[in-house]
Amino acid sequence: MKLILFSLGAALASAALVSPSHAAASANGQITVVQAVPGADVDVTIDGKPVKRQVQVGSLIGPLSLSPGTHELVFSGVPGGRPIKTRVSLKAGSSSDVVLHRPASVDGAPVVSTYPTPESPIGPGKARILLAHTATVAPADVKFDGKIVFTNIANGEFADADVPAGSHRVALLATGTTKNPILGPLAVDLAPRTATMVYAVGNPRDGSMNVIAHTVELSSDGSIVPRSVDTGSAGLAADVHVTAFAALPKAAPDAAHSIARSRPLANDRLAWFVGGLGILLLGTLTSRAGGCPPESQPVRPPAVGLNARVT
Amino acid sequence: MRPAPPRRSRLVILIAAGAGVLGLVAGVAPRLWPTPDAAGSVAVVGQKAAAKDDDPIVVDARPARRTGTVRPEQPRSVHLPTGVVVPVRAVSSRTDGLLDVPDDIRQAGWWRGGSRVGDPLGSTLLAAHVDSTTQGRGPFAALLKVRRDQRFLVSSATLNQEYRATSMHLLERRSLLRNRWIYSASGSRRLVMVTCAPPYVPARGGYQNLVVVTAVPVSGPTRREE
Repeated sequence: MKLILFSLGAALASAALVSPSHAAASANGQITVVQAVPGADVDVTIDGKPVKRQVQVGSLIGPLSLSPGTHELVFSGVPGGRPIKTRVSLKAGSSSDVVLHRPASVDGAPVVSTYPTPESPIGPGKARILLAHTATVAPADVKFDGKIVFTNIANGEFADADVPAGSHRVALLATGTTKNPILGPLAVDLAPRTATMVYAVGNPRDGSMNVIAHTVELSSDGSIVPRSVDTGSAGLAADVHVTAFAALPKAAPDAAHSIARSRPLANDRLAWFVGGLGILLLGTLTSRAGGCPPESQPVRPPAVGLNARVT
Repeated sequence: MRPAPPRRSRLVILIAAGAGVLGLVAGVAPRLWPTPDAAGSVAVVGQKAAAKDDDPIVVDARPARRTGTVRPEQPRSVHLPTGVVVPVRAVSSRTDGLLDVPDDIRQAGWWRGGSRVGDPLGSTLLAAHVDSTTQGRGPFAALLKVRRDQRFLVSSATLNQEYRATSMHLLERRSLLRNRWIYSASGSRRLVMVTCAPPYVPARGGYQNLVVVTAVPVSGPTRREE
């Protein structure tokens, strides 16, 4: 079991090479061919031309830049003897993975599924993960940092989500179960502004479960992290007494997300202090002017005013 | 009376009929309904070949179906415990980092770098003006009076998700940078709503604090009923 986990880690580490995504700028389409059939050395031919021979499970070919239109792929050397032939049609600027993998049934001939690269721009501090079921297993759920985030993914299907960048633990479980993962938990490192495609491959019954992963860069969605919020100007809520309550959002794993510096009490004291100072100041001013008695003045901090600008 | 055919032979007939229909559908369907170009990029062409031992098996390259979770959507409105429904629009921050909250106090801004309805983790940050000199008090002034467990309903194009208030903090207005949990993609799924809070000191820029209400999902997102 240790060996398997080790090999999983190694597979993830070696797959963590980031390939830039040029698709958007190119008039061609891009495909990455993924060999996800355990125990087979496959020769890959595209449009009659041999591309690579003896491709082992876990190997990626590409990204290959192909002209828009239909292309014929032939995989020979797959279990069962007869080559697998399929045709994919590409649009200009598109990018996808073409995956040769096992069907859900143990004895079925390999099948080909295509997965569009989830290329849409992403916000700061986030990464995208795509988990694809290409294994000889019943439908699966995905646990992410101990919490089920995807449910009931069947062979040939996938789920994806934007998650915080950083280190995470991912496990695949038979749908509806909470223990004894089929795969993992695996440590997965997700760099900010990348998408990682993770293909679960193999068969848990013969110990061949593994993952194939590869990563592409994403563009930023242009959002800038907020540093300040300015949401009032008229002072109409100046006298509202605010009663803070309850605890921190406990799940933030990063120490930098600590709320340790929030000081509701200190702020209340500040309010009283400013108010008190204001009253003192008013008293001093009015007595100096020799005018009306202090009690005719509104007992408010001098700061209150209605002429502030709208921001 | 003629005896009914034995059970097994009926089954055989059924299977044969079923196979015939399937074969017909398989032969005709690709021409009638070309495989949907679900991914927008890869379409499929393929038919069954006549079987010889070295002939290739022709298979459809099936565009994988997305499943497992809802497709996240940006929030469109938030229903406050006061009964007011506040429209929400996506906002960014200015280059100096000031969140670009809508000028109209009746609207809230959602920081579009943050989490959407349906994202598995992280904060959905909504901010609106507490007041303005021209419009008076805004609906987000209600945040100053929020109590524990009050409910907020966030809606997007096709989803609803209900949240329950778990905390309210008064933070110094310029402390946002230090309090990354307010907008961060990390941590549990949460709704964080912000507006200005007293004390109000015009000489020092007006409101000195932010009130920050955090609410957690009561359940997963559900489809909106039209």
